[in-house]
Amino acid sequence: MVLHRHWIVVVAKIAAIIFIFLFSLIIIPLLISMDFLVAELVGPALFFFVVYLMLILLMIFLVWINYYLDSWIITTDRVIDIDQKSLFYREVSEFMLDRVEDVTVEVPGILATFLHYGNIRIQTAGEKPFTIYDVSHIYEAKRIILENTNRRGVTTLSGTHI
Amino acid sequence: MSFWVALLIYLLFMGGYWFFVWSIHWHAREYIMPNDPSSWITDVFLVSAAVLSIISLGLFFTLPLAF
Repeated sequence: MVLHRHWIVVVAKIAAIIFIFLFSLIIIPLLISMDFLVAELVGPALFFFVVYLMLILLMIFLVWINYYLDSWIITTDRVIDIDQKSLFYREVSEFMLDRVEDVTVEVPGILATFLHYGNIRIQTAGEKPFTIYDVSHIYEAKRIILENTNRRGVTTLSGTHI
Repeated sequence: MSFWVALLIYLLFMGGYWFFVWSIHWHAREYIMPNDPSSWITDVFLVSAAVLSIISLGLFFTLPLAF
């Protein structure tokens, strides 16, 4: 099972970028009203507008690729955490399911309740809890983790499989 | 003279821009599964970046700059 952050996380960031873009467009009627945008300057203004649009597009897709490559893969053996911190900073960590002690599901807030997403906190033996933030299908993920943890059984300190 | 300076700045900008565009494309090709339903988003981005780059190139040569 592959988990991604809920789409609302990326939509909020992209909406913020688009809002900044639209807000900056206020400058155009302002320039026209102040008679700065004379006929000779329309070409350069259009050129800089297109360049600005290119930068906005790049920012949106940088946000999207960072969002989309940030994922968790739950297999029958292990959980793989792929953390795409920035475009050139990727961190991959994993742990075996037989080290899982308990799994907690959190649905924090109204938006998370209505859009069915939340956090999954996995407590592993002898380590800090591992938390997956803002993902959808949390109950299904919890079920798969617990089912496979139970199936693998418990290994005692002496190495005997119970 | 100002045209050549502007052209140099513009080409440097385009070089940096396409470095990031290809980086995004490379990441998508490397890490997103081929049958992933979201892979079309990267194609949309590439096409949009190419179209805007061609438009900006066309507009650059209409700028009133002295040679």
